[in-house]
Amino acid sequence: MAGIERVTEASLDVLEVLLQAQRDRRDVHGWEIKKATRRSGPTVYGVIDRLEDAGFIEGHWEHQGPSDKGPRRRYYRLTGAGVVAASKLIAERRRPSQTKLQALERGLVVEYGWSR
Amino acid sequence: MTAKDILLAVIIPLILAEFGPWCGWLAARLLPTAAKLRYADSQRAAVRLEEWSGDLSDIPGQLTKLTYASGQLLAGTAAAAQRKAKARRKVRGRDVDGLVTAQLSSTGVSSPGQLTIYTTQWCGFCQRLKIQLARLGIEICEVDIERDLAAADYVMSINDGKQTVPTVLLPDGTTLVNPSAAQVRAQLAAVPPGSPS
Repeated sequence: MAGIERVTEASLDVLEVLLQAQRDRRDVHGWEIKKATRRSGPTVYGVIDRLEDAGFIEGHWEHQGPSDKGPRRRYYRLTGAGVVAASKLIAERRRPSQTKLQALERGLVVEYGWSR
Repeated sequence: MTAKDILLAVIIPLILAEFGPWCGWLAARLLPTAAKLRYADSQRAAVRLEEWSGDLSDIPGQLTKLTYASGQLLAGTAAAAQRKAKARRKVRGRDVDGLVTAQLSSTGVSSPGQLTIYTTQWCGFCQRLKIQLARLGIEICEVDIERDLAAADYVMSINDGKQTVPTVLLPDGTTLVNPSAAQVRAQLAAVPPGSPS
C-alpha cells in the first residue's frame, strides 16, 4: 500500500513527536507518545497501528535482564520511508510557527513532565 | 449537615480508600479483553497488551489506571462491533457503501464486461477508487485479498510478490495497479467490454 489511508490531526501529532525523537536520536514508547501528544490511549495506539501497517515506523522490545519483572516497553522509531513521508506531511499540513511552538511545548512535557 | 454532605465528606473517601487498590487490579484485568476485542490479529493483540500493561504501571493513580483501561476497553468494543458489522455486510455481498455489485470468492471475472478490483478493508485508495468508479457508473467486483488467499497470491504474482492494493483486473485481462478512475475508464474504452482480446 502507498502511505496511510487517512491523515488525522492525531496522526500529525504522533508523527511530530516521532520526528523530534528521531532528531534527538532516541526511540519513544507508546506512553511517551501519548503524554507528548496529550491524546487518548486508544487514539495513539490506533495511529501506531496504521503507521506500522504502512511501514512508516518499526517497533522493538526493550531488553530486560533476568531480574527485571513486569511488562516490557516497546520502542518505536521512524523508518527511512517514514522519515520522508512524515517530514512531507508535517511540511504540508502544519504551519512552521505552529510546529515550532508545539515542539517547544512538547519538549518541556517530555523532559520535565510539565503541563499547563 | 444534610445527608448529601455526609455522603460527600465521609462515604466517598471511604469507598475510594476501600476500592482504590481494587481499581488498579481491575484495570489490569480489563486490558486483555480490550486487546482481544480491538485486534482480530492475535499477535498484534499480544504486543499491544504488553505495551498497555507497561503504560498502566506508569500511571500512579488507581482510578486513573481504571480510566485508562476503560478507555481501551471502550475502543476495543467499538472496533469489535465495527468488524462484526463489516463482516455481516460482506456476507450479504454488499460493500460498506453499497457500491459493489457482487462479491467474488475466487479470482477471475464474474461476467464478461465486468472488472475486478482487489482490495483490503483498510485501504483508503481502494475506497476512493470504488467511490470514483461508482460515480462513473462502472460496475465492479470486489475481492478482499485478506479474506481470499488465492486472490492474494494472484495479486502477488502480478506485483513482484507484493500485495499491492488496489489492483484492478480488467475484462480484457490487463491489470492496473492503483489506477485513477479515469485510467480505468480509458482502458475500458480502449478495449470495449464484450470483446475480449
